[in-house]
Amino acid sequence: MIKTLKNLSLFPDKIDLKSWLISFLIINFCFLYHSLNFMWGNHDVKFIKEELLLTSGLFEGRFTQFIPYTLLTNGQILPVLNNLIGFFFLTLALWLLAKYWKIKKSLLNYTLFITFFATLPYTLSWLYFTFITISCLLWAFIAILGLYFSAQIYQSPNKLALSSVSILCFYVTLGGYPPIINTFLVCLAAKIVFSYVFENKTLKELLIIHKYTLLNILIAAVFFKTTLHFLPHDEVYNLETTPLSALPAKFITTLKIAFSQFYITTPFMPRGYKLLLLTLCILAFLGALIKTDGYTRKLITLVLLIGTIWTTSLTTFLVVPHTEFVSRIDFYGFAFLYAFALGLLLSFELPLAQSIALILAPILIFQNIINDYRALKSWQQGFEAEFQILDRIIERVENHPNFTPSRQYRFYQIGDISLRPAYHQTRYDKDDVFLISLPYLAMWQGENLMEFYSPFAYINHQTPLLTTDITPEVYDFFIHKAAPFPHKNAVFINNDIIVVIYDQTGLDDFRQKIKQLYPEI
Amino acid sequence: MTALIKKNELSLWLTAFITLCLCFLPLLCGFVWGNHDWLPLKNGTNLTSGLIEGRFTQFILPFFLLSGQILPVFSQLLGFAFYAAALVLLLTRFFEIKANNISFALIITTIASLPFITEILYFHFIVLSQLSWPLIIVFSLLAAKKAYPSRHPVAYTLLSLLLLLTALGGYPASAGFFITSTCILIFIELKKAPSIKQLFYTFTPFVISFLGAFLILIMIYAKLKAAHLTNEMYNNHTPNILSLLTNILPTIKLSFLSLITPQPFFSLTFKLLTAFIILSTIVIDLHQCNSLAKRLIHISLWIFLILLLKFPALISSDTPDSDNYFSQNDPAAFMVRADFYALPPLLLFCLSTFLQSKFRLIKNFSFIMTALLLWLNINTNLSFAKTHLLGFTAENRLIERLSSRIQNTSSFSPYVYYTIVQAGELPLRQKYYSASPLEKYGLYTLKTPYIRHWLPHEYYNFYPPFSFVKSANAITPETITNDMTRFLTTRIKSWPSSDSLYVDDTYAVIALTPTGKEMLTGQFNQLQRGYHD
Repeated sequence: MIKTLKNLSLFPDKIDLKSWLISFLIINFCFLYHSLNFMWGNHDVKFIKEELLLTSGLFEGRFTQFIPYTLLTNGQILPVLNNLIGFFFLTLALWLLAKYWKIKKSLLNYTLFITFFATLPYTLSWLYFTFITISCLLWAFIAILGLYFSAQIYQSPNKLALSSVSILCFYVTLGGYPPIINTFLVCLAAKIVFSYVFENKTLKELLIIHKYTLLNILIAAVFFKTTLHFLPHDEVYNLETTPLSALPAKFITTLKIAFSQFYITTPFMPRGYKLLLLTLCILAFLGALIKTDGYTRKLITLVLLIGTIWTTSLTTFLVVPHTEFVSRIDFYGFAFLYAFALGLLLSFELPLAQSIALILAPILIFQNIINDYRALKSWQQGFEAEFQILDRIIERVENHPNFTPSRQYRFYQIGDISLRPAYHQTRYDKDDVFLISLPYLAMWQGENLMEFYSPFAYINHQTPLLTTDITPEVYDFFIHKAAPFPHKNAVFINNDIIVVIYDQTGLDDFRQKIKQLYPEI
Repeated sequence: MTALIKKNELSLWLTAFITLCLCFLPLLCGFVWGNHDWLPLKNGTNLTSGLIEGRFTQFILPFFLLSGQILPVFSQLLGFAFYAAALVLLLTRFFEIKANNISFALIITTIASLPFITEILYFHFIVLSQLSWPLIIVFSLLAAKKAYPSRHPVAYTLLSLLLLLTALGGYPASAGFFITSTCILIFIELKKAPSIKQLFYTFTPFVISFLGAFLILIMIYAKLKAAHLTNEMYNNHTPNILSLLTNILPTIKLSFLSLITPQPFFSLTFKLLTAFIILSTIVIDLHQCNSLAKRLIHISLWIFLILLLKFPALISSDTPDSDNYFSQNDPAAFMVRADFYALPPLLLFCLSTFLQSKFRLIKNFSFIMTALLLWLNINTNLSFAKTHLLGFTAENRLIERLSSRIQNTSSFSPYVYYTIVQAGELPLRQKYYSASPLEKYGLYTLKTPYIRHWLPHEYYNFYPPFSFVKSANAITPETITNDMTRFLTTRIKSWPSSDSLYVDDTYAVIALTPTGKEMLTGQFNQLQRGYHD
């Protein structure tokens, strides 16, 4: 085992271990408030109580998503450990990335590089859903492991073995969360820039070395698509890909999106902070151009840099659903571009570049931590506020004269209340659902939420609300009397159904639906 | 100081301590309490608080170290520090095991994180003392070990006896730590091929200490009961010789059975893994015996050790078949808190034996096995912490709603002291735990509620700005009104119905569960009949 690791240059030395440990501790400090407060909601509700099954992700084509949970925690979402394991893999991924890109090795360089990326507010997006934290942070490690092995194939006698392992790495991660493809391509493009600038390799040489990587990614993608074809997945939003005919036009759109990521602000990434990150990128890319000799090579470097920036929007290019400026997709794409910029600055021999990196990186890490804590404060307050409302609604339901705990009701939640935004009033250009606007009390988890703290099990989880339930009495109530919480008519209970109205928009939609169903009433 | 504490002991202690903190971080930061803890949490405990059940030393440490207060973070942290120290001293000074740093670190983290500790953490008011008994017993063991080679064997034996008595006075089942460790020392000493005389001199102080401590304990119990300071309870009765003898065979059977019976949080995988580790150690030990006679001696000793692992069951008059609450729900042979004292020393020895093996294959295999056990431990502990935390939150929300309903009734007055009669209990930790079909028992690890029906004044008075509940919790016949009779005979329904609650100017009656409601109405009818007769 040790011999194999040494052959692959993966056996850690003292600098590796120390930088890994220091970074891991800083990252944990950065998200400590989250680790200690165990915030969950939305998709998590059922899984917090019960457990994740290997098949839990199949309905949306994520066939490997819960393998890590099954193996590591027996399918359980555990407080503290959920984050610890996730950060362990993320730290490992970034350490491996530093080796893959051959960033100049020193304790300080490695620590700054790992900590800078891991504390970026993009990481927060994987903490909102506790049921996928471990998997999605692990995918980053496995993806980079695949890239690392692929890069070794060129000079290894065990080409087939390495290729197989790489393909498996790419396939497993695509099966867990397909936007990981951004990581494959951003990191590969960045690796090519590193080799071109620092190792003075020609494009032809680079193609010979990295053709294996491209081929492995392609094979894994084909396997992935084939697997999806045979899986009994539902028709869900996140599996729809862009038709081939639309791709050329989309190229320009995604290029624009890729560049606008530098200045568009999102929750917990304010303008000043984005500008500081942009400065880091500009200085790094300028440095790369200066370092390259000759106009032709400078031009190629520029094209490679633009290409690298474009790959950060690869998922947006490939799929139909809205994926631009979504923090958890950018975690796999644009965040790696920032890491690439810091990696470049840390790798230049010039003392000025080193000094810039050593000044900018700590400032940015500090800013990352501040932004993360601001987010976690809003999250915790939103979590408390939403669950207080849930308590009040449960009391209303269980104290209702028509309610009997021994009876089985079908439950329907109209609308939801998202309260995290109430504790974060700063303006931003683009909203991000995972970082701020999604509620913990998701509408479609209503039935699980109602019973979560209740001593009783009174919801019939098998049968949903049916059109036949809309009797004239029910119709009259919802059209003429119903009002959202906290109004007394926010709760409706008869012998079979419980309906709770959380907000006016939801109620309007519901009214629209029942009017369409029963226009004659 | 450096001579007193060796550098590697300090780093081992730190490793064990950090492991414990990590495993229970949600509980350290979450401050979960309930059951007996409500009043002690507010008012603290004093030196005599444990006398009622004969535990005369239980509150010495909390009293002197924390002024009797239950403190968030600190009470448990101090307990973890003591327990980690006990394990390190047992490993390095008592068993005197030699191993490399990595093996040592792996062993100590695995043993410190064994989930038997979970049940100890359920009651906050005794957590510090319960976690400190192993350290006091290790000091007792070290004193007994020192007696034979020293010039003052009597003094050391006496010291050992006093220390052991202190621990037993706080929790008699902690004797398991002393017994298991002593038995293991016998195995260690036997490997050195000592003479019978040497063995006799070495272990006499242990025997005197143990028997002396128990004899004094029995005498103290008798005195306390005679002075009416201690009630006759299931956990302080004195066994007789006949019951001890008749209990031997059933206890051996139960001891083996409990090694493989899954219990809440102790999955079949965990049980089988630990049983496999113990069994493999026995096989290795017997394999090393070079004669039949030696082998027979070792077999007898192992059976004796397995028997004494369930020491509380041996001295208990209850059997799992008897019609007794604790026998039915928490039989002595399956008490996780008793395992907390008996099994860690044994597993510590077993893992050390493996990792010290000369065979590379055994060493590598045991390394993987230990790492697997460590991972299972961490998972189990955090799963317990999550269940505990969510159950606590759910039950507290229930109290809030119950209090709010009582205080919202038209007849409620904040100036009246009510007798609350709560019929039934709703333990909610089980809601957050997926049980496997073979699991048994788990009273304190999972099934006991935080809100006990006989202590309503403690938790209903806990959060409101005014106290409104008396410590009494029963209806007296002369205070029954027509309204109450009507409620209890015709209207009453179980929670959360609005007819689950009755409030007049003396009582607040809550029918929390259907079973509780049935019991209450049954008792009420009897009470009424008795009063009219």
